[in-house]
Formats: sequence, structure tokens, C-alpha cells
Amino acid sequence: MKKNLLAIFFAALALTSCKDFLEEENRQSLTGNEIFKDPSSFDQLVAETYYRARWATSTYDVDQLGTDIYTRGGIVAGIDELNDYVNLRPFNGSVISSWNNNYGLIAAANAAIDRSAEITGLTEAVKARGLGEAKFFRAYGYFNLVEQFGAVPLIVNEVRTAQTDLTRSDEGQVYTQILKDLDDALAGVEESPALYGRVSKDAVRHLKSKVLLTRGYKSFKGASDFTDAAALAEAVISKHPLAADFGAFFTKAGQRNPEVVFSVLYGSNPVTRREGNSRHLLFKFSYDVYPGMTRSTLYHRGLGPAPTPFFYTLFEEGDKREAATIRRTLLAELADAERGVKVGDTVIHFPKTAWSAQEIASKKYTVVNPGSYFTPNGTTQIQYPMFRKFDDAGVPYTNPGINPEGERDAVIMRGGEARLIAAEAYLNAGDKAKAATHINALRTRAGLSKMYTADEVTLDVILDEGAKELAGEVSRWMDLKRTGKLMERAMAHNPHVALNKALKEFHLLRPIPNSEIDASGGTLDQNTGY
Amino acid sequence: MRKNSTEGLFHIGKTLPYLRAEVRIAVLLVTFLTISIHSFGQRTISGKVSSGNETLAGVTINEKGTGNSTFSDVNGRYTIRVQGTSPTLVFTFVGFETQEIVAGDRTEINVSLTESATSLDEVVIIGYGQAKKSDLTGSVSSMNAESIQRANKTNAFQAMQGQVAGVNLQMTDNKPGGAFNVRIRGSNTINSGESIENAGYTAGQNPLYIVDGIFVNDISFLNPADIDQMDILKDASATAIYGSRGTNGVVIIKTKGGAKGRLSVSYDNYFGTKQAYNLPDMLQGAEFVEYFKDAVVGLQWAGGNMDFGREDVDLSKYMRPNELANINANKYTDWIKLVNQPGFQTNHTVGLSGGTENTTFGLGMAYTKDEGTFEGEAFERYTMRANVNSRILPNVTLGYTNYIALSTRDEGSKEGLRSAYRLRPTGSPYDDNGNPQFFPLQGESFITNPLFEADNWVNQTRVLNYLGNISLEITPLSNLKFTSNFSPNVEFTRLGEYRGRYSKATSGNQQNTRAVVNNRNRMSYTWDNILNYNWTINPENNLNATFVYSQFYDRYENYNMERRNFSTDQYLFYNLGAGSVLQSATSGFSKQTLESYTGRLNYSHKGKYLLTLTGRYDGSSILAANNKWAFFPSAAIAWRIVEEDFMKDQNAFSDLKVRLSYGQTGNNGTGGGLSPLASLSLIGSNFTNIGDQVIQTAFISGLANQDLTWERTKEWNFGVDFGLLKNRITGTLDIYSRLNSDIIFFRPVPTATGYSGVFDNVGEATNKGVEFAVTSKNINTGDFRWTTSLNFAANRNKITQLYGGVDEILFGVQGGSYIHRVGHPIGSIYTWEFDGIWQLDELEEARKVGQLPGQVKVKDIDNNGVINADDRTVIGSALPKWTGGITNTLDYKNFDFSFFVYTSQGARSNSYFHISHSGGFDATPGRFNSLKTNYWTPDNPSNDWYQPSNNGPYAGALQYPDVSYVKVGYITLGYSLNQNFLDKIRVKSARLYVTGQNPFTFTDYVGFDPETAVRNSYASAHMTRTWMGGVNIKF
Repeated sequence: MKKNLLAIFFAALALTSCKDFLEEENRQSLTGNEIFKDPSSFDQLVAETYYRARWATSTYDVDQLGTDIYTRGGIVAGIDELNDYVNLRPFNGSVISSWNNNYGLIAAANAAIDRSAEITGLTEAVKARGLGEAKFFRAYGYFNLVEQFGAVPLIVNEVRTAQTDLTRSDEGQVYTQILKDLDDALAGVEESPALYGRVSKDAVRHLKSKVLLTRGYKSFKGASDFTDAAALAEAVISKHPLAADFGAFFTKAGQRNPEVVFSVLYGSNPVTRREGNSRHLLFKFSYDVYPGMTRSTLYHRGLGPAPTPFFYTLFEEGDKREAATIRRTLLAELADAERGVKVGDTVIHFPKTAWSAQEIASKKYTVVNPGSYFTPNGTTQIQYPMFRKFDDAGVPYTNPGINPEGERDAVIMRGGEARLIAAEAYLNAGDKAKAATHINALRTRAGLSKMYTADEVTLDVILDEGAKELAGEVSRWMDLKRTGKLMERAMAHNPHVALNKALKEFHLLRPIPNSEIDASGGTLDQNTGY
Repeated sequence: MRKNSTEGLFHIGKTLPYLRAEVRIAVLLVTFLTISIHSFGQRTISGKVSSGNETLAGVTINEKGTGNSTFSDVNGRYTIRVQGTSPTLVFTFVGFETQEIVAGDRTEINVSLTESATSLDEVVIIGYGQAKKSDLTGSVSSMNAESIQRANKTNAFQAMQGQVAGVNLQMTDNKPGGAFNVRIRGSNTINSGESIENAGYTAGQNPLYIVDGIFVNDISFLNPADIDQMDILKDASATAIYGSRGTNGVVIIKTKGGAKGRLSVSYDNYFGTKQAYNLPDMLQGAEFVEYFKDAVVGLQWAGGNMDFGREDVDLSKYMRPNELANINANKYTDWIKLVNQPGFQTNHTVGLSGGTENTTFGLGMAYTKDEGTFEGEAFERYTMRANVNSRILPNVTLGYTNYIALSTRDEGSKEGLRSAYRLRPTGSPYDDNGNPQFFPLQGESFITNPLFEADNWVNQTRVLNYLGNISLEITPLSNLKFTSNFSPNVEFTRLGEYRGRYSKATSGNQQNTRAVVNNRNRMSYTWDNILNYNWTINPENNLNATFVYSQFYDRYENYNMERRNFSTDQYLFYNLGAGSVLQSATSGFSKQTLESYTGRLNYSHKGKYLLTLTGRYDGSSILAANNKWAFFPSAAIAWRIVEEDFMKDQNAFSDLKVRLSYGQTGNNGTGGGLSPLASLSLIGSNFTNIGDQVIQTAFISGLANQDLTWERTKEWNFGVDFGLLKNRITGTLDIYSRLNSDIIFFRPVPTATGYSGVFDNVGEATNKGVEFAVTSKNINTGDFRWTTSLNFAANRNKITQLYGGVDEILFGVQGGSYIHRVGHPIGSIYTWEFDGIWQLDELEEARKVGQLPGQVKVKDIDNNGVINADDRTVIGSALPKWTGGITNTLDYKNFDFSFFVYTSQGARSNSYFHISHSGGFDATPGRFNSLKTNYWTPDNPSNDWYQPSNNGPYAGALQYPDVSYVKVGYITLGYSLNQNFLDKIRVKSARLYVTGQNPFTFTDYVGFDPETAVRNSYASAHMTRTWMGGVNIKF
């Protein structure tokens, strides 16, 4: 009897072990099977490209360091891989981030593009617009990659199985793909999107004009790249006129106006702001160790890079952009009774032209003459007029390694840059007069009276003007590389590059991250020189 | 006759005053039944059982061939009714030799039992059952309560450390209450998601822990004094019965239970004080200033200005007036000394046990406190255990066990100690008025004064852990047993963190004050149904069959909330609503299940030929749909040679057994970091901003691998158990060879794909090793006894094959560079090989590879005159080449003295200390203090260490030092009070002792602790030693 009972018990056990017991229960995330039944999932996949564009548009180190107007924030001694081009190796973190951030953007775009075919119930209009936006961002990612790394793996489909044996496509193929994507994007996106911050046809035109301008210098250029670039830039300029007041434009209140072609938005809502914009941290030194200064929500902290002394010399007397871009006087935010500092007192001043020793001695505060920016003064190693252009007053002071939480829009494309693209394109197409017109338009807005004649316009003039107009906004490294001026201007104006004299032709391409070569099992090859 | 039985009844009632009413009723009922059955006995025999001059309570006395039995009482006295005319009495007691005495017509028999000379009769838990050690066919190591007590640790893991051959422990954290990682017989796999916070390991590869039949993830909640026995199952034959769960080995822990006999009460305590030691030798005082100057020079040299010398250094350009004033006044601060403080440590454990023939119970309570050596660090634990086991019907036993632990771990500041290592000695901790100043260096506003940290950074984890087990055992036939064990485990964890205004992390900003509360709960259960059939075919042949059906269910939730910007530090994390900024609110859920069918057959012929066959059919929820189930067989044979006739005439061997086993186990990937749902491609989500609207996004969060399957382990084990010279020397030798195939690893893919990698079965590796343990009673005279136990283990791990046509997989973990390469250990360190320092006369040579004198030189492995990624090579492995431990116990009269030394040799590790606190490059020369090194200067052509601030691109080659060590685990001196005296005050035993815990470490490693070298100094702590004293009392 007892044996029978046991038999029944075991039979019952066998029944309880139904199939369900080993089923996975998923409450934390959706699988593709579930989400892609809903047409709105496509919008979400597209929206992810906007999210990832935040990283692809904040690769400041590779965009700024080692150029004529930005350098590392250290005294003129020592070495640095990226800025000084000394021992730049495929292990450099900034180079790897640039690669990862752009490919991350591309992967999100690829997913949206490929999944659009699987998601049921999409209207043609929604699909066309979304594909256009995704392709715009894919083109943006590949443009950064091809300029930084040269030939790169051209991945235009969502990767769905573990693929390691990637190979590099030559630059020409990458450009062909970028332009194809931009043409699709131009057809797909809206002329004037209802939502501010959405990709418009002008954003596509703007990017395409820059891509064509860049290709115009290459061996595989198209016959009419420069004129096409100019025409597209003109189209953008016509609808995005220069804002009247440069200074007002670069305030939090004035950041949205018709001159903006495309901005990446962050905002104050922590849900959407997430890590936040970090531009307000750019080009600042450790000012807070001066008496009366503190780690404040006005000046914030430094990210590391510094403008070169050359940068400050570019501003002519009366250029309104100077005051909007940099701050020559720092005022005390805290009282320091011990050292007789009251709130609002001047603590550090950077005169535009050198003061005499006598004049300096007469001041209670620290005065740093041009020429002493990279000399330790017993308080800081280096000190220089800090950027104010991106200031985001009120945003918390955060330490390195903690999210910066900036709320301001990151203006990625604007009419001012379109003017510079147009000028450079016309110059290269042989129309110097039109080039001068665009440069002079910027100078007029800056409040300058000296205008350039057609004959005076050179690439250097355009680059000098771009330095002042777009400081910190666009990739200076790519601008210099495009124009073939990187080596010449960096050696001439970057004190650290000049010190180490290590910049070589091969540095015009970054090293392919070694982790990528490692993971590929060797199918990816390294750029020469690394 | 009646008188006797009422006496017995009364006796039980008196000695069990603490039993709950129901149990007492059951006890009475059972006793009554027993009495009624036996009340027609013929005569009684009584007497006293003792051992030496100690009386023994709880000894079972059985009339041979009958069911008549009783046990001795508090005074060792017993009375038994016997039926036979010339009965034989059998006296059995755990730990003593069984004695049979032919009673004849005697009515009084006094017996003196002798302690078991051999440990062969020790019972070992083998998974879903137990076996005599002599009958084992697999490789099992045991630790008993005595050796655990002798180790006297705060944590159950520490008690194991170094004591068992082939078991490697690694602390993840020197702070009190820190976790441990355990590797049995080397590493099976490697988890690329391993983090420095976990000291380079994750729990996924830890062995399975079973506490009183309950499967748990961790045993740190246990009070070591509550542990009765720990059995470590090592080879695949022993662990096979646990299938996939046993692949990393199994640690079975039995807490102290009840014992038949009168109520026994024990109380143990200790008090101690703890100090940090083995502190890295940092630059202090004027030495630092010299170093600082050398760093200024180094920075110039790095930029090629080799004319710059120390005489050109103008300190006033680099240092603020307060630092210069301190230097002039020769007033320096040793920040490390400033923050170090002694910690207090104590433990109190009370245990009770008792029982009748049919019901036993045990219960205990304990309190542990362990303070760290940085203010604010402490670990406190309260534990309570209770178990009762009762034969409620002649063939039905019901058991209930539970264990509750409440622990509070205050981790304190994660930055304080690191700041002490970073700050220059030239700073001023206090202002002119003697108050601590937040920024002690006027020119440094990032690193703050560590004296503020304890008050400003609270990081507290409270864990409530409940383990329960209800077990029902039915014996319908004398040789058939059915057991059903239902074992729930509930764990509630609350992490509360508050960073106040003056912590380094907030740098004096109210906006950065933050409170985080993280609530996690885990509910899991194991339900085992075991059918055991024991068939004595004839006296020479015995067959024992076990079948198990088992379910495991594990469910986990977590809730996390963070708010910032608190106007006061008053609330800590108890008033989240007071922070004006909601930073995040998230939650998560996961579940995993396992289901298995197991069978085991033990066959014994004449007690000398032993055979074990095991098979387990395992299903795991987290593997891909088509690969959820797998079968794991094993077989083992043992031959007790000593039982053979031809061994009868020799005296050398008192025991000799050889074992051979083969088994397979599986790993469902948790060791490689596989988590639930990881074989699926999931959709992740973010929010972004378009048009200032909250726009939800979707992305594909990982690559799916629908082919992912079980990682398998196949293992051969050959073992010898021996006893020499009447078991004066006993020991075990095991040799094993283990092949892991289909190793699950997060294989990196190029990031260009949009993903970092995929869980994949990547290849095969072997672990081959030898384990040796021997115990020798060197001297055993009346008053003086000296015993030495020694263990040794060596393991060689090697990848034999990688799938997919590759011979290496490179990957990085937390700044370390690693490789799986065929022919090398799994996860070998793969980097450039240090080759000294470029010297002044090598200028031209150095320039050819883009370097300068003073910088680290590395080997040109491919000899092509260029140093690049192709010059990386395997320089070592984090797996030790061999480990060992030795315990010596010396007893003289009432004194006992023991010490324990263990070692780990031949491992190299990524050393965070070398990366961060040894003077690496900084654009600001000498910004942080540095380890004292024999660094290169133009006047000191050292080949050990680079010129400060001129390290060159390959200084990373210096960050993988050897982390071998020899540690003294404890030194203990004890004194047991005189037994005659104790008998008078009715105390069974009492001992006083003093001990040094972890008192000495010998290592060439510089850094906090060779065991935690890989750990970031963020949230880290020094190695410590504790001097303490205590008592052990038994009533």
C-alpha cells in the first residue's frame, strides 16, 4: 500500500514538472517579436538615433585637440598622445570613443532602416520620414569615421549574428554610401518639421554640402563637388539667415532662432536630459583654487583642452564674437576675508594686450598677460581666458566622472557655418568674389568694419574666420584636415605640437582601435604608421 | 521496573524545558509508545560510560540484534532493559570507537570508550545523502567544527581559507563584511564582465553552497561558530549528483544540530582589536619634495628638454604658499597615518542542543561586530538558528530547520582612503584654528580632506536572510526511504547611500548631495524529492540506490531610487522626498529555474570494492529554447586495499584505498556572466528630447545566440586515501584531469557591429592538477601532543582548442588586457613585457621607437625594430601555480597552541595600486603622492621604475606584478580549565585563549593586499590583523 502511495506521489511529481517551469519570464525588457508588431516601434527605433547622436556629436578630444586653436591643458612640457601626436597608439581612449560613438549611431540607424521592412502597419509617410532621419544620422556617423579613420568597415545592415571578420571599404566607397544616404534622406525628411530638433531637409543639405566640399579635395572627387556644395549651402543660408546679435545667440535664451539648422536637444527634464550636454565644461582651467573663487554653477569645471595662445590673437579689436566666446575677467563668488576678497571683486584678469609690470603690481588681483597662459604661476599650472560661449548657469557643478547634466541645446549646424562652407566651396570653385561676400557677411554681423576683397580671400582667411565664428562648435580637426592645413597650422600655432615636433603625414588618419582589430581576428588592418 | 520508566520520563521532561509544547507532546507521546512496547523486558543492566576522566552523555547503548536501545545521561549513566539471557551491548558515539561488550549475567557494566583513532567512520555529506568516509569513491574534503573554531574567523569563507587542498579563496574587499570568491580546482571559465569592485571575479563561478540542504549563493551570513561540518565536493563524480549546479564544486555545510542527550549549552566569545598593516611605503615628508622636483624635471624631459635639471625647478611656480610654508617649517602630513584607526571586533555565540531518542533540537544565537580601520566602516551580524528533528511515527521523521541572519554593513566612504594616498604630504589637514579644512591643498580642489569622509558618506547595506527547510522522511520499509525537502530562501537587501555636502564626491556642493536607496529581494526555493533504497543482497554485497527529482526556482526584484540636492544632511537616505531633484527611479525583475532528475547507485562488495554510478538530467531556463536539457553521467570505483588478505600481515598501512572516478557536469553559463534572457535579443529603451517632448526610444540591446548550449566538464580523478603507522599519519592524494568544452564566454565582436560581444561557446580547456593533504600526529604522549596538517594543490589550466577557426580571443577587463590563447591558461595576461628603463646612452635606440631615456622599455617580441600591438605577449596568469596550507597544533597538559600558515604562489595580477598610486604621468607634475620606488633620474640609472612624469607609452607593463604570498592565518594559545574543578561547578569544559588573526604576511607585492591587487583603491581598505582573546564554555 505504501509503495502504491509513493508511486502515486511520484506520478504527481512528474505531472507538476510541466513544460512551463523552464520557460523564461521576461518583465524587464521586450523582445523583437513583441515590440515590432506595433507600428510606433519604428518611431522609437528612429528616436534612438537622436539619442545616440548626442555621443557622436560630443567627441571633443578628436575634434579639437592637436589643432591650431586648441591644445591640451598642460604646461609646455611633457607629451600627449592625441594632442602632441607622440606615440599615438591604437589604444587611445578618445580615438576608441570616437569610433564607438559613431558606429553606435550607425547601428541604431541600421536597425531602424532594416526593421522598417518587418514592422507592420507603417504608413508610407511615417516610414519615409523615419528612413530619411535614420539615413541622415548614418551619413553623419560615416562622415566622421571616414575623415578620422579613412577606410572603414561599411556596415549598412543591422548586424544580427556575431560577425567578427569585418573588412574595410575604401574612402571612395564610404563617400558614395554617405551621399546615397543623404539623397535618400533629402527625399524622406520634412522641409519644416513641426517638432523643433527634428532633422529637416536643410539639415540634410547642410551636411551634404560639407560632405561634398570635403570630397572636392580628394582624388575621388566628383566633377562638380565644390559648386554643388556651394549651391546646397546657399539653399541653407537663404532660409537660415544670420541672427542679428551673435552674443544673444549664445545665451541660453537665444539659442533657438532661425539661424539654427540642426540642434541636438537635452533640456531640463532629467528623464530626457539624461547625462546631459557637456559643452559648458569646454576650455576651462582650475580657476577655483584662486581666492574668492569656488567650484560654481556659473563657471563650472574644466574638461581639459585649452585654446592655444594663437586663438586669442585672432580676434580683432571690436569683434563682438570675442566677448561672446571668452571671459577675460573672473569675479569672486565667495568672500575671502583672509585675503580681503569680497563677492564681485575681480579675482583674475586677462588683459587683451600685455600690461606693464607696474600696472600689474598696482592691482590686488591676479593679472595674466598674453604669453603667460602656459606658465605656472604658483596657483595654477596654466590659466587663460575661459570660454563662456556654452555657459549653462545654474546647472550643478559636477566632478569628473559624473554626468555633466548640461541643459542647453547643442547647436550642430547653423547658418554661420553654411556661410563658411559656401565661402570655401566658392573659393575652391574659383569664385573668390562670392567667397568674400560670405566671409564679409560674418564679419559684418561681428561688428567689424574691415572687409575682405575677393583677392584677399584664402583658405587661411576662411579658417581664421571659422576659428572665431565656430569656436568649439564644429570639428576643427576635420576642417584643417579637409583643407590640407592641419600639419602646417598645428605646427605653427599649437605650442605642444611645436614642442614635440612629432606630427607626421600618417597622423592625418587615426589609428584603428586595436580592440577592433583584436576582435576581428585580424581581418581589419591598421593604418600605416601605427 | 515501572519506577525506572517514570524516572526516565521525568528526566526528559526536566531536561527539555525549552521545547515548545507541541514538541514536548510529541516527545512524550513517542516516549510513551516506546515505553509501552518495551515494558515487558526481563532485566536491566546499568552502568557508566566515560572516556578518560570525562563522562560521556548521549552515548547510544543498543542490545545487539534487538531494537532495545537507550543512551547515557548527564553523568554518563545508563540503564537498559535487555531480553536475551546473555546479551551483547553495543556502545556507539560519534567520534569514538564502537565497543561491543558481552554482558553475560552482569547487571552493571562500566565502559570506557576510546576516541576514534581514524577518521574513517566520520560521516561525510555527499549530496542527497551521506556516507562513511571509508566508503567514499569521490574526492571530498571535510572541515569539522573543531578546525573551524580553531580558525576563529568572523566569516565562514575565511574559515575555509587555505585549509582545504584545491580550494582557493579570494577576498574581494578588505572592508569588514566584504565578499569572497571561491575557486575549486582552478578556473573553469572567465567572465569578461568581471569588475574591479569584485576583485576581478564574479559570483557566477563560485561553487554551489548548500546550508542544511538549502541552496544559497553566499555563506557570509553564517556565523562560523554555528557550523558543525563543511564538506567540499571536488571531483565530477562527487558533484555529478548536483549536475549543472555542481560544476564549480559544492560546499555542503551542516549547522550545529541537536544531539541526543541532556541539554547542552555552550557560550563562546572573543574581543579583539584590529590594525591595518602591510601598508605600501608612500613618499613622506621631505622625500616627497625631492620626488616632486624630479617629476617637474621628468615632465620637461618627456617633452625632449633634456637640459632641464633639478636646479632649474622653482617650487614656488608649482606649489601654493601654504605648501611652501609647510616645507619651510618641515611640517608634513602622513595622511595615511592620520586616517588609520584601530577597529574593534567581537563575537558572542550561544548554542543549545539536546534531545531524546526520537526528537533532537538545536538552537543558537550569535552577535558579531567587526569594525574597519577607517572611520565609519563596520559590519554587524545577528544570527539565530533553530532546528528540530522528530520521529513522529516509527517510520516517519519530520525535520524543520531555520536560520535567520540580519547583517548591517557600513562600507563608509569609498574615497577616504584613496584621498589619503593621493594627497601630497605638503598639505595641511587643519586650518590655523585647528579645524579640519575641506581642501587641504590650496592648489588642488578635486581631492578633498579624508577627515571629512566618515561624516559625509554613508553607505550601508542591510540584509535579512532567512533559510528554512522542512524535511519529511518516510521509511515504509526498513531499507526504503523517501525524503522530501522543501527549502525556501528569502533575502531582503537594502542598500542606502548618502553623500553629504562635504564628501569628495560632492565637493562642497549642495546640488551634488545625493541619497540612493536600493531595495532588492530574492526569493528562491529548492524542492528535492529523494527516494533511497538500500538492499543488502547478502552480507558481502550491498546496493544503495538513490533517485532524486529536484526543482529550483529563483526570483529576483530590485528597486532603485535616487534623489539629489538636500538642504540638510540630517536625513541621510531616510527621507528621499527631501531631495529636490529626482535623479532616477528604476526597477527590475529576473527569474530563473532549474529542473532535474537524478539517479545514483552505490554498490559495495565486502566493503572493499565500491562502485558509484550517477546520472543527472538537467534543465535550465536561461539557455536557448532548444538546448535547455542535458544529461550528466558519472562513475567511480574504489578499492579498499587494506581490507585484502594480503595486507593483513603488514603493519605499515592501517588504511589504504584507491579511487578512480569519471564524471561530467555542466555549466549553464552563469560562470561566464550569462544571465536570464541573455540568449535572446532584447529591446532596450531610452528617452530622448525632440521638440522638448519626452520621446521614447527603442534599440536592440544585444546579439542573440540561439545556438548557445551547455558548457560541459568531463573529469577524471584518481585518488589515494592512506593511513600509516596505526593512522598516526593519514592523508589523501588526488590527481585530476578536467576538460571543459563549450566554454561559455562573452566573446567580443568588433564594436563597429553595434555590439560589444555575444555569449558563445568558445572553446575547450583543461585543468590538470594534484591535491595532497596529510595529517600527522608527530608526538602523542600523555601530556604532549603535536599534530601537523598540511595541504598542497597545484593546478595547470590550458586552453586546448578554440572554436570557429581562431587560435586566440583577445579581450579587456577593467583596464587589464587578456587573451584566451590555445596552449595558455584561460584569460592569460597579454601585454608588453617590461625590459627595464631606457638609459641615457641608449638615446638613439630609444628615439627609433619614439621614446626617450627615463621611460619604460619593453621587449620587441617580433624583433622588427618597431614596438606596436604585435609585441604583446602572454606574461602570466592570475591563476596561482600552487597553493598550500599548514596547521600545527601542540597540546601540553591544559595548554593548546596552534598556528596556521597558507600560501599562494605564482599568480600575476593587474595591480590597481601600480596604476594609480605609483607616480604615473600627469600634466600637473607630482599632483598626487606616489609609492616610494627606485625611480629613474638622470643621476640614478635605475632599471626598476620610470622617471616621474616621463613614463612613456608602455608603463602599463609594470602594472602586472607577481602576487604570491605567504600568510599566517592565525596563531592561537589556549588554556583549558581543570576538569576536576569544572566538574564541581557543573561546567563541562571551559577554555580561555588569545589569538592573532592574519598576524603576518610575507609578500613582494606592494599595494594593500596581494589577494585584492586587482581591486581599485576606490572603495578599498587595508589588510588588517586582529589580536584578540576569548572564552569557550560548555555546560
